[in-house]
Amino acid sequence: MSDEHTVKPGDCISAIAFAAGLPWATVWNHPRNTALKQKRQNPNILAEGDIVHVPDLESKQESRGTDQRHRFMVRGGPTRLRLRIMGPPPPRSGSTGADGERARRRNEPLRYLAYVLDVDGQLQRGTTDGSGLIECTIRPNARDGRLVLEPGTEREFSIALKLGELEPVEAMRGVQARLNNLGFHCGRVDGILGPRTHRALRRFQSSVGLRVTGEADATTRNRLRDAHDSA
Amino acid sequence: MGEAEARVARTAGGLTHLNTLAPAVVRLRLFDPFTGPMPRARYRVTLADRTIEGHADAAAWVEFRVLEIPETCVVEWDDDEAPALVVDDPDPPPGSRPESPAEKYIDPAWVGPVAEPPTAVTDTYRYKQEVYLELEVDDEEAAFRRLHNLGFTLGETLKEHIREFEKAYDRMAAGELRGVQDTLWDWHDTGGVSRCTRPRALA
Repeated sequence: MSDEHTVKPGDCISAIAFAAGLPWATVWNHPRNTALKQKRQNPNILAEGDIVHVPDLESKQESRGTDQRHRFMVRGGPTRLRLRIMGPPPPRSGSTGADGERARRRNEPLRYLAYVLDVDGQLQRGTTDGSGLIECTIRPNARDGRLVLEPGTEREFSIALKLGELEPVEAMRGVQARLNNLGFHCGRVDGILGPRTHRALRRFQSSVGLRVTGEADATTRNRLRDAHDSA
Repeated sequence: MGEAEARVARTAGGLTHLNTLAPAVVRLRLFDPFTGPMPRARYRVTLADRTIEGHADAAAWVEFRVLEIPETCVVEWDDDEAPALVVDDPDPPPGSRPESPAEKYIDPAWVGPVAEPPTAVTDTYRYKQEVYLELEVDDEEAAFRRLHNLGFTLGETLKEHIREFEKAYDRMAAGELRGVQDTLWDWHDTGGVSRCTRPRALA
């Protein structure tokens, strides 16, 4: 017996499992979620309207001696937020001289950049690592965050983070969100393939050497996912 | 436009998925009325969602991040001195204000710098200018925006703006885009603007 959960914005397997008191892998690997697993492949990224089967909690008994300390491990490990901070995409047109040198530094990880990350009131300060990565443990159902780069300087820059709201790249909203995050601005994430999204797609395709069509074809979506979601 | 916002995914324990954020960088270069760079110039940039204040670097460049590039922004700047209240005196004494426009270069959307003159005196900054940041438009509009940013805004038509540009650099004033396009794009997008051979009129 299991419940069905209809995915809402901000949901992911970790959050759904957390609410049910289960490890995320228990939910994700449940036989009734096989079709969803094949369709989405990544438990972190579900689409609004997806159906997740949430198994009932099962009790498990272990016998141990009294007056002793015993350690029980919870499977799965903590949920994390992993952000990679990069320089902006390459220029749209050719550059020369000093600007060409700047262009070469673009689209590279921003290493050792000071930041403050606030997720649901929990503050973390630090610098990006050698690959531009910021990583922290979060509650599985954390929804809101704020990242401030170079805090306290004239270059301070703040980004509101909407946790769990990245949709699969198969959805147009997932395409748009990734384009925006990668600096190929397409405006509001509304799921509509309009002129700004076409233009952003053309720029992205040009930057990665794909045929420039402005269309969100399978090849473009795969490259977009690789560029955004993978190290 | 609201605050910069990014939709990101959480990463379940044991997995390695990440989210990549690549904010755009806008670059501006602040110039005095005689097209000399203004190192350490005070500036204020007003975007739809925020205001940025600070000082240009030693080469007069200003750089800031945005997640989404707006179509325009307003830039105000002045020497690196304590701000003085400027009263709108209809008949200022000679030499109290610049007689030719300052120029500013901006590098919107990592394309390269653009330039433009000040068009107003503000309460705490000597120069103020609205700047086009969105330059990915058709050629004629792109030329118009670059000329505007470079300070050539007299007249009604693009042809007139081009002629103004040509005259400022002792070129034959043909008013044809193809005659100035390469130079205009290069100067605007790289910051390598030459000094005018004659002062330009204020808009």
